[in-house]
Amino acid sequence: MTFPRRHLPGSGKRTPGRRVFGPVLGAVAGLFAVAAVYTSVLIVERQKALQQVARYNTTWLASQAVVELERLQQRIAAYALPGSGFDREEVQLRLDILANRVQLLRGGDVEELTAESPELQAVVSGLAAAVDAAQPMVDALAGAEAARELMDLFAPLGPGLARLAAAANVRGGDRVAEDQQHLSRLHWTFSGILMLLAACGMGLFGVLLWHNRLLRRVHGELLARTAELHVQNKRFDAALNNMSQALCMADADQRLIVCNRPYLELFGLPSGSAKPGTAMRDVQRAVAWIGRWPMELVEGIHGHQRELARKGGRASFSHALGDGRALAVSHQPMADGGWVATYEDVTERQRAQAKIAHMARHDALTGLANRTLLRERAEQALERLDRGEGSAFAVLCLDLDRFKEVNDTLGHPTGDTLLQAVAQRLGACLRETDLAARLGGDEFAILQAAGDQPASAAALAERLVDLIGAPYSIGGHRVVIGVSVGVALAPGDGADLSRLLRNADLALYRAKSGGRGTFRLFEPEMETHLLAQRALQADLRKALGGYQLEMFYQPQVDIATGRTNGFEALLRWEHPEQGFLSPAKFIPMAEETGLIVPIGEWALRQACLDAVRWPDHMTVAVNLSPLQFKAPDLVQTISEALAEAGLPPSRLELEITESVLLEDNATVLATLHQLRGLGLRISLDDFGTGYSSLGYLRKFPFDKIKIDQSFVREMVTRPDCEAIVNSIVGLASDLGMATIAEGVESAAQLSRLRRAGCMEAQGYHFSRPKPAAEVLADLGLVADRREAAPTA
Amino acid sequence: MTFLVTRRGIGRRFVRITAGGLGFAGAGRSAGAASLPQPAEKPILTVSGKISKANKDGAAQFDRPMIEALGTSGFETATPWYDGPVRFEGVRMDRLMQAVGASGDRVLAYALNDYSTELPMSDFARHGVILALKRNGQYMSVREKGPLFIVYPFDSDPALRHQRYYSRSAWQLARLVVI
Repeated sequence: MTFPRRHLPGSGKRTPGRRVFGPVLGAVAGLFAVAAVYTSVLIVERQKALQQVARYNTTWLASQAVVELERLQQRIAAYALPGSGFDREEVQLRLDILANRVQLLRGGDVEELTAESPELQAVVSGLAAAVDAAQPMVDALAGAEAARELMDLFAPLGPGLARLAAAANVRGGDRVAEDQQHLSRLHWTFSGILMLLAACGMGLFGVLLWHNRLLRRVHGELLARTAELHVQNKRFDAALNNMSQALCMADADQRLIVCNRPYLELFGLPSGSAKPGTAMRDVQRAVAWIGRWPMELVEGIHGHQRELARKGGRASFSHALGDGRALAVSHQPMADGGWVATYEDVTERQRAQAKIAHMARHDALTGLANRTLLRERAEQALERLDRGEGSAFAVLCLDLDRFKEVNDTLGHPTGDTLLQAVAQRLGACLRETDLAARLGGDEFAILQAAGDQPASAAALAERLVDLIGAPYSIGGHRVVIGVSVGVALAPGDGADLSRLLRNADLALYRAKSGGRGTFRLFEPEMETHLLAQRALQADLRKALGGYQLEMFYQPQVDIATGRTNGFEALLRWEHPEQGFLSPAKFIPMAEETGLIVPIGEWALRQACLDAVRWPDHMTVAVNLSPLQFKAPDLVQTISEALAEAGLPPSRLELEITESVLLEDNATVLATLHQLRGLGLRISLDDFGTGYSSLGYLRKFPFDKIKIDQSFVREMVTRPDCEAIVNSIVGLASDLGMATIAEGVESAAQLSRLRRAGCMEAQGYHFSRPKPAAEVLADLGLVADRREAAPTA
Repeated sequence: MTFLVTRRGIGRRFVRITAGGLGFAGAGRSAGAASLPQPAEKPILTVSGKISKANKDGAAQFDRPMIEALGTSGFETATPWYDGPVRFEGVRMDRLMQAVGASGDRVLAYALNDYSTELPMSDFARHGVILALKRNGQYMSVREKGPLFIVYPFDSDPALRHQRYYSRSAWQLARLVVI
């Protein structure tokens, strides 16, 4: 049986008794050894004692002397008797035997006995002397007399030898007693030792029981602790393997302590391949070899980690590749010189971040930069300029012409596709250093970084106009749009992006107003023009209340009869400083500012008031802006104007352009039908320009179609224009609609129109637009004094 | 050649051999297997009892030369009777028993001083018991426990150093009776 010399740390503290167990056990073992040795000694001693007992019997030895003496005496006596048969030789033999006895009595045990008593010593020496004395007598033995002398010599020795025998006997008894005593002592000592050994055995048994109990308790504790450790290990494992990050822990010798399942999965290591104790270098080599992640990436990370492990540093870092794949690593040193690191595949996160960063700076639809990125780039470019590093650059503002119409006619999805196609073409025009941005709707801007300004910007703008103006094929539709470009140059045209954009916008505005599909460079004059425009807008607001607006009328003549059927009402603005302004100049402004609604309403009322004074068969044609159709009370306003003036509805004709129909069709058509319900007539203005979709003619039964003056003006010189006019007239006739041509300036035009079958005509050939008073005078009616006075 | 034999029998009396010769002894030996040669000198040992070889009335008488003729051997041993170790020489008892054709299992030994003791026959071969004639090279006289002394080799076995064997060691031996 072995006893552990070392006890578990912790358990030993609680049971100090265990520390004395070793010495106690040692002492018991020592005691056993000593007892064994002593017992052995005792046994030897006992053996010796027994040997003492077994020694030659002294009593016998001594008592035989008496017998032998007696025999000698007997032989001597026999010798003395004649005829006994005993001879001298027999006496000699007995004397020799006695002499031998003397030798015995003088040596060994008997000598020990006699040494104590001079008396006994005297007995032995007396006997010896007698034997010595007897020898010559025996030699010369002859006759009874000599025998008697010999008898006398030995006679006194009998009692002495008897005493010697007795003494020997007593001494033998003493010796037996002594031996017995000795044996008894030995017995008791032996028994004592046996008892002691028994006690020691009992003690040992007790100690063993006690120790066994301790062992059982320690064993129990160990089992409990093992179970606890097992549970903790399980939890630890579960926690380790269920964390989202890959984890790897290494010791100070750069050997793997543990890595979790996500680690194996992240690097594609087969389960069970990374065993604790494996050199980290081997693990890393396996990771690189398996190739779940590119060699370049993992070697970069491992190199970084080896560097950190050598320095004992901590760091969180990530390595990424050009394709966006990225690993984030958090490396922490541990107190024992090892380290623990977590790894995470941050590819998706980085991609998402990159995407968000991209989205924050780009337009979702076209993928072009947005205003934010444009601003950043512009600011950077401006900073470079400030530092004197960069060169001049240009800001181009682009606005698509007729995009709104595409959106309205073909729908938003088509519009979006068109915008994408435009963006693509934009990109094709740019160099890498340039930046295209979509600012919203159909507005784009370009930041052109080029030193050779304005030539570069002008060249780019021209290219853009050409390229974007080329036809598109979208969803089976052939779409034609244009682009207008305004250019501002930094730093000359502005020290910040806002100013540059505003100035580029001004140039754009000028380009648009200059006929679209073109570009303009910003000029300071444009700014002053803008200011003038704004002043004019302010003036227009005042014009309505300041009686600066006036209605002019141009006759509409029946081509067949030459009679005037009615007049078209045309608005004139007499500016206090600039004189009469053309509607083309201020109507767009009025539409822009929303003033068109009150102005249009005034014009309608005034036209009704003027027309009611004309002959009963004459009609008045009033233009309606698309914006007026958006006003919810248009029908009411018109019926009120008619009622106010007392003009029969049949004498009012409303001229609308097809752009009205481009708007929300259902509402517009409902309004048109309501107006028709009032009894007035509706004509389609500017027919032939724009889309001139024949579908409109079907959607609403117009009373009259007005052929655009552009066809009329050239119908004499261009056969195609005449053909168009002929067609329109024929078409209208077939649909039961009347036709009127505007802008008729010559008799030749008129005759062609007549030939074409056009019903009415209007233009300078007949009369210029005239104020109401003049119209009345021409009609032979007396004008109001108030009206007539200024013209008189 | 004269034999003086007491009437009281061999058991109690010395046999006196007045004359004897080796030559005769040799002749006697050749006379028959059941007989031993007659002692030439004074006989000093008589063996009787269950024996098959005899030379005098069913007993075997030996003088010193006859005994020595059986072949002598010896050993040195300590004894209770002498100080220090002593060398004994004589004939082995088993040899002697063989010589007389002893068939018993015990031997009664009688000494000149009428001491008697009993020895198991098995002792002789087992312990190499000798019937000593000489002590330290000298023939032993009656005064020196002679002329014959049965000696155990006490030093060869501690068990022999016991009263039992001491008492079996008879000196002044005169007769042996095999029973």
